[in-house]
Amino acid sequence: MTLADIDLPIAYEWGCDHALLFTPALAKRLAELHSEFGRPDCIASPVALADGRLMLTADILMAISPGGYLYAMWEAADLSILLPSVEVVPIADAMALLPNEELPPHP
Amino acid sequence: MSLKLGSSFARINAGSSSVKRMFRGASGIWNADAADWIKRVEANGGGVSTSTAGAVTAFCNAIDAAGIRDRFHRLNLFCGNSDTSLNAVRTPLYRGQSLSGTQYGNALDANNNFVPEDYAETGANGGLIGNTTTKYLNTGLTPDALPSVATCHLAFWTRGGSVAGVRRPLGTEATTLAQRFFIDRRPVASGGDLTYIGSSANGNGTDDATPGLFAGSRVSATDLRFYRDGMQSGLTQTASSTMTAHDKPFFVFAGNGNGSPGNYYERRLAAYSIGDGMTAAQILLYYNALNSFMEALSRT
Repeated sequence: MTLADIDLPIAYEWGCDHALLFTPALAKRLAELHSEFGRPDCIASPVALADGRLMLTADILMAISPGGYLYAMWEAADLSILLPSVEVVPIADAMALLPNEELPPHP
Repeated sequence: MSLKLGSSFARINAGSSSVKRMFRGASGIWNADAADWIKRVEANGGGVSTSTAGAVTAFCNAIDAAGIRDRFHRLNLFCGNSDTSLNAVRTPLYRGQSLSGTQYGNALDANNNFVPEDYAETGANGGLIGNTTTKYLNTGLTPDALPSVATCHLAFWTRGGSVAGVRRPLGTEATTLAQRFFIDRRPVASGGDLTYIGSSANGNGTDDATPGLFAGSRVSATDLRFYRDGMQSGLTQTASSTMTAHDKPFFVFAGNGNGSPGNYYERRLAAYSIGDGMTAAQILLYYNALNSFMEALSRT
């Protein structure tokens, strides 16, 4: 399933239960759009997954609504390319791809 | 300093909407920090209700009366009206030891991946909620910017809830033990709730899922204590520890691990603070002021 298959706007709870996966190349393009249209203190910052892709939780889509801090960036994006390029998966599937955390020593 | 309504100052400035907001405080008592916070929130595009202005003013007056205002380099109560960019909730109340002195860190906590729906101002779900994967705030405040890093306190107020792994609601570390400045919630198997301030840790060996204040305070190289709701929890860490400041900023809702966020905290936070070390008596006064604030916003 990709973002092109999703009816927008989403519900917040659905967004918390899903993740958006995309390539570093797309992340670079989104970062360029953010630098031009986004706010420096309010950003979408993806997390790197073990398979080389990047991930955001899908509730970030709440910020693309009119007035949201990603609205201008979203409006400027080529959605015909963006939407089918972003995979949507259950959050558990994305968490399984997170790199293992190294725990600090116990006290 | 405080001024009562009806003073010459109040009458002179009565025509200003911003100044009128300053006088919304409890019992008509004005507080410079609260008034400045309201002005900064509005300048940042946010808003503050009359009731919240009163609660923040009462909190500031309690901190002033307790004589602990200079213990804080940064404090955020995560309050103000909700807006599309979370402008109010990201505006710290305190950014330095005094309003006129040096101000530290970002003017707003920089938002990484929070959305407006993550925030509620009042009620049992009052505060900002994180997740285990992506959401954190960057304070821009680095340990090496603090004027007296040898003594330090770290604190947060959470709405509680269990954790399944090491969670770092507030903290930063670089590469060595002496460069650790964080406070964790952990399962018992991972050491329980604890704080690292320098090379030594201290905690209570339990995983406390109940809401309230978690704090760590180091007042000397041989006195590091962990507190829950204003009371010491666990023994005093008296082993001499070393501390080395570094330039990685404190994150909230995650730890800054030498430049990268990790150990995200998925529960709701209602406040955090970073500052100088506090004695047991000072921590209790801080807790009392925070508790009154949380009650005023029905965050109970």
